[in-house]
Amino acid sequence: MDKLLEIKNLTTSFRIRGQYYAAVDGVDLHINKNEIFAVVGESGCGKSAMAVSIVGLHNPVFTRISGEILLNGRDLLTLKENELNKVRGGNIGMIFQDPLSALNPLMKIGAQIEESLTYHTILTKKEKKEKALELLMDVGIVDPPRTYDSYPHELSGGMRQRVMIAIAISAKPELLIADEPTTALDVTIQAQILDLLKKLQKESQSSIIMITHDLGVVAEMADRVAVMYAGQIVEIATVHQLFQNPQHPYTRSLLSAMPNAERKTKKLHYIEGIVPPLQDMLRTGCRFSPRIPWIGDEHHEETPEYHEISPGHMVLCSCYRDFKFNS
Amino acid sequence: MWKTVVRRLLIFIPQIIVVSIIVFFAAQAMPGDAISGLIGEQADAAEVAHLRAIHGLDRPIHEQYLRWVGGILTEFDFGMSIAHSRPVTDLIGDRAGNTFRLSLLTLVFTYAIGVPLGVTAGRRRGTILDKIIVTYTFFAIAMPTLIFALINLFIFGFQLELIPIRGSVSVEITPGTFEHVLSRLHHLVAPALTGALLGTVAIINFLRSEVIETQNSDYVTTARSKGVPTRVIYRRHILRNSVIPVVGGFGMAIAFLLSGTIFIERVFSYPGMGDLFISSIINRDFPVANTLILMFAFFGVVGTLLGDIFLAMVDPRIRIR
Repeated sequence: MDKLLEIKNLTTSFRIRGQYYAAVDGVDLHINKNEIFAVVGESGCGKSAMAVSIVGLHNPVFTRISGEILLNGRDLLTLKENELNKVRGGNIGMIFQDPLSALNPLMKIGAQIEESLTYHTILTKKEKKEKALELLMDVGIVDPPRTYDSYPHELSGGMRQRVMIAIAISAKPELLIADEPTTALDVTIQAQILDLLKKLQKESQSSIIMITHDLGVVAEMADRVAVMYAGQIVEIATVHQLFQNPQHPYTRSLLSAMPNAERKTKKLHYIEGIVPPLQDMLRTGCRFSPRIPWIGDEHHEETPEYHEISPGHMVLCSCYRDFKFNS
Repeated sequence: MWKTVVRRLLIFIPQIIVVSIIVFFAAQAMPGDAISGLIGEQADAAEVAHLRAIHGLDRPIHEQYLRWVGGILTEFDFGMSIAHSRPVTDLIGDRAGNTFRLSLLTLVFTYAIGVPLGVTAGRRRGTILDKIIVTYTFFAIAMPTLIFALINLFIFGFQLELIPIRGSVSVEITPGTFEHVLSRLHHLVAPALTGALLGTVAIINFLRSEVIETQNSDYVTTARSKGVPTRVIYRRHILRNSVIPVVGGFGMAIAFLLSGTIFIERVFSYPGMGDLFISSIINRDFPVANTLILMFAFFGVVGTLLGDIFLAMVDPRIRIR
């Protein structure tokens, strides 16, 4: 399969009181053409930081990014601002978590869609309007002309997220980055939005990076998935491999922490502790080890490496071999 | 929208009644009255009593109040100025134009200074430029209007002789000529700038914090993710959202200015309503002082209403029903 995006040794560091701390710490991965790739992990694991690094949306004053981000072989990290602006929205579209705040409250919906078209197409004013109405139709808006003339506050959360999607796909990008696109929506709307994204992806043969903390969304949507913890990818696999044969202790803990209607248990499993704040993050050894203290040091690697379970299925650190739940 | 305007103006009626009562009785509570202010302490007692009777000052206080209010309501008669022996309406009418011109120019200066400085400080937060602007706002907040006006008058009026030290226009120039207009402007610049340099602080602080906040808002990130160039983002997304609270304050600024030029007019001996207000209080010329306070209260209400209307015009989320 053709690679659309290749990320090599990506490190994104934020400045906190004069010191830089890596939120994304040496990530390697690639996204194929025509696939949905999920990145899953707890809050603070660096998944959003990674997504935003791809299009360089971080505040440059407080952020340092190193490594390579190759889109069709072109390194996005070496681009100048105006070249990057062509990529943003043009090659890569973004959808954010909270549709309530992601749209400009003072601009009509139509104008916000057309703004994107202005920078990535050479359409006339009239054509832009036609295109915007068409896009609204594509994302399942019932009355496009009316929505076109509405302000964001006049729309429901689900409709606003549809508008966000319309903006993101307006210039037919090859890659869509959806950063927790359904987290702020209620469950029925979540399903609709996911269906819409999947349908649009199939039609356009583009790729989607789906950032989420919801394993249900991963199972539903993704072709391949990366599990992130403390800025690193701890396991990467196809969805089938991951759900049938999870390896890393973190992945297995996450999966057993999922409520399941069929498998009735007295208590829901949970993972002790929290993802450590950036400043206190362990930078050597297995970063997950503090949260599974019953697994002795001898089971972890001093410098964790990736082990191949099966083709395309990699797991970080040797602790997966001897991991047992602590009952 | 007109319903709201009418309703708001109706609410204003009981407000102004309460203000008129407070003002009237508070004025009475001050020591002395217009007659003692007019002729001094060595006056003949019989003479004073006679003058008091002419102006009705010997009547019971509630009777004086009702007579005053009755005159306003039936004939739009706000009484006679005791110090000037002229109807209050004439006296204020003479000066309203001056205050209006001064307020307008002050307002223009206030925004012309505040908007660029506020936006620059917010956009370049943490830089030397920002620090200079913030330091200036501290200075301007701490500086009393009266002192600042006196300093300006002293330096630019007396020492450098760049500005006239009193009046609203040079008397020797014939009205209607271009020189007359220029002379008016020349008299206006210093008091207007004095007011604006201090008053603009509110706008600078407002805009600065709004710009900083808006820069980090989600919709600005969205705009960046669309590939919109930074300069356009500032103009179209950040600036427009940042000016909303400033626009909301615009109506209040008008109200504040019409009454707030009091000290500045006094220091620059500028014959406006503020100057009249202070001299009427010193002279215990209560018909004039009371009327002016009622007017300032009226400006306050109208100003807030205007602010709300402006806000509804720029922010689609606010609709006045």
